[in-house]
Amino acid sequence: MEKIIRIENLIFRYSAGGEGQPAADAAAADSGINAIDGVSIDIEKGSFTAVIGRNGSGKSTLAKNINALLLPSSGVVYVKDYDTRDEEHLWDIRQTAGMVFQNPDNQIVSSIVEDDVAFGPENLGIEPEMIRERVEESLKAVNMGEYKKKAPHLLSGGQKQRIAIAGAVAMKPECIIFDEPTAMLDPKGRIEVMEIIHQLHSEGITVLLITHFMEEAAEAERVIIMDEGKIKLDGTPAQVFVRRDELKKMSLDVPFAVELAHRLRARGIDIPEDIVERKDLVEYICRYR
Amino acid sequence: MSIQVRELNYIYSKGLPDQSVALKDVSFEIGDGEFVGIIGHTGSGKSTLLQHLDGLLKPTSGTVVINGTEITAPGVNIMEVRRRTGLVFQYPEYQLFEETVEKDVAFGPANLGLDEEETAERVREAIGLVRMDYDEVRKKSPFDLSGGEKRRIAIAGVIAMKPDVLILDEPTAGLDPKAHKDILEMIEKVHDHENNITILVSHKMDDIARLADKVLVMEDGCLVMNGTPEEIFSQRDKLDSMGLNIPEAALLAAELRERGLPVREGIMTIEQAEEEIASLIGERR
Repeated sequence: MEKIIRIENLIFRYSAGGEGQPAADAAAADSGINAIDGVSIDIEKGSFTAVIGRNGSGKSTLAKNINALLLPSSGVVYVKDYDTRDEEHLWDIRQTAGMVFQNPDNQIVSSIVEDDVAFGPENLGIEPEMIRERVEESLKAVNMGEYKKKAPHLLSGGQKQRIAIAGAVAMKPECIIFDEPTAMLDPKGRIEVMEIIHQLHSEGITVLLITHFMEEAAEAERVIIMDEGKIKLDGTPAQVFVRRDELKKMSLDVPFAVELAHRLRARGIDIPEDIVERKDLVEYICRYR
Repeated sequence: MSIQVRELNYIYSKGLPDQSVALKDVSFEIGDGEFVGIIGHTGSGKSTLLQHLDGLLKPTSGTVVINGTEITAPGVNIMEVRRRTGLVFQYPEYQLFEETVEKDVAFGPANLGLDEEETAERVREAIGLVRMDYDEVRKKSPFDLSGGEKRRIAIAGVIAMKPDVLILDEPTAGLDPKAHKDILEMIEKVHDHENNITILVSHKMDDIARLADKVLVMEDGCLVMNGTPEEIFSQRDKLDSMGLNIPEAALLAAELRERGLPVREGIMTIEQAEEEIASLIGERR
C-alpha cells in the first residue's frame, strides 16, 4: 500500500511564550514536556484512521504537524514524500493534506457560501472557470449545492461545518484531517457531517479523524490512541477497544456496545470480543437466542 | 422554589424585515428541587428560553414567575432575579478574566454586596464543589489550567452566587470523556448539596436520560414535548423527525424489539440494558 503520510520519530515541543499557543501548552513548554514524544506512524493512502486521546494528549499537535502548521522539533514528517520542513513545497503539502477544525464559525471567511468555498482555489491561482466547477462539485459533495448563494451565518452548525469541509474539498486534497469536526454540533449536525466524511472516504480521500466520540471512532478502519504525546494503542477498532481497562486508565471511554458487551461477559454471557458497534451487538443477541 | 412559565412569546427584530418568532406560546412549570433537561436542535429556541429565565430577555408577551415573583413584570428588581438564577453559558471558560482563580470566582459574590469574609467562604465552598483543590489553585492564573479545569472554575463563579436556579447551556461541549464525566458528576453533586432547581441543556441524550426528572423538547420555538425521560425517549420516531436521537441504551432496546425480541419499554441506561439482556438470554440458557 502506498503511504500518503510518514511520520518518523516525531518530537514536538512548544517553545515557551510562543505566539498564539494555549496557556497549558506554554506551561508544558516551561516544564520541558514534549507535546509529541517520539511518534512514528504511516498512514496508508485511502485509509480511514481515528485518533483518540484526552485533552492535552497531543492529538491536535500531531495533526498540525502533518500539514506544516507546526514543524518538528526533531524527527521528520513526510506528506506524499514532501518533507514538511521544506518551505518550497509548503503549498503542495497543504494542498495534499487539508484540514477542518472544530468550530465552523472560525473557518468561514466570506459572506456568501460559494465565495467561501472558492477562497482556497482562488489562492492557488486557478482559472475562474475552473474554480466555478470546483465550487459546484465541492458543494455537491457535501450535499449543500442548493445553498451556494446563501449567507453562511443563516445556516445551522452542521451546514456550516459542511461548507468548511467543501472549502477543503475544493482544494482537491488527497487527505483531509478533521480535528473534532462534530464537537460543537447537535445530533443531526453530527450525523450529517459523519455521513459526508464517510462519503469522501468512499470516494478515495484519506481520512484522519480526531474525535472524542467513541462511536465515531468505532466506524473507522484504524484507531490510534494517544496519551502524553505518545502512541499507546494502534489497530482496528476491535483490537483497540477490547483493551477497555487500559483505555479507562487513560481517562478514555469505549463505545456503548463495547461497554455493554464487557458487562454481559462479566455475567457469563459469551460475547465475542470483536463487537464494537451497536448493530453488531443487536445481531449477536438475536442469534444467541 | 418553583418556576412557572406561561404563554411565553418572543419575536426577534419585531417590525423589521428579518422579524422571526423565537418562542411561541411556551408554558411549563418546574417544581422544587427538580432536575430538568432541555433538548432540541440548534436554533430550536433553547437558548432564547434560557435567557428569559434569567431576565436577560424580556418576552414579547407572557410571564415568567420564579418563586412567586413575576420577573417579567415592569419595575422588577432585575439584580434580585439574577442573584437567584445562575446561568452558565456555552464555553463559559471564555469569560474567565481575573488574575487568579480566587479572584475570578469571587467576582459574582462580591458584586452581590457580600462582605469579604462571606465572599471568601463562598469562594472556598464553590471551588470545593467543583472538585478542585482550593489551596492548590486559588493563587493560580485561571489561564494556566486545563480546558476541563477552566470550565469548572467558570462554573464555580456561578455556583458561588448560590443561585436557587442553576441553568447550564451545554456544559460539556468539546470536553474529553473524562472532563465530561467530571463536570456531570459535579453538577449532580451541586444539585444534591444545594437542592436547587437545575436546568441542563444538552445534545447528549444519555446524560439527560440519566440525570433529569423531566425533559422539555423544543422545536421551532415551541415546547413540543414535556415529560419524564421514559415518556420522551420512548417516542423515537417523533424525536427522529426533529433531528434528535435517543440514548444508546434505548436505541439498542428499540432495535432488539424490532427484531421481535421481548425487550421491555423504558430502558434508558446501560445498567438497565445489561439487566434486561442478561435475563433475556439467561432464560434460554
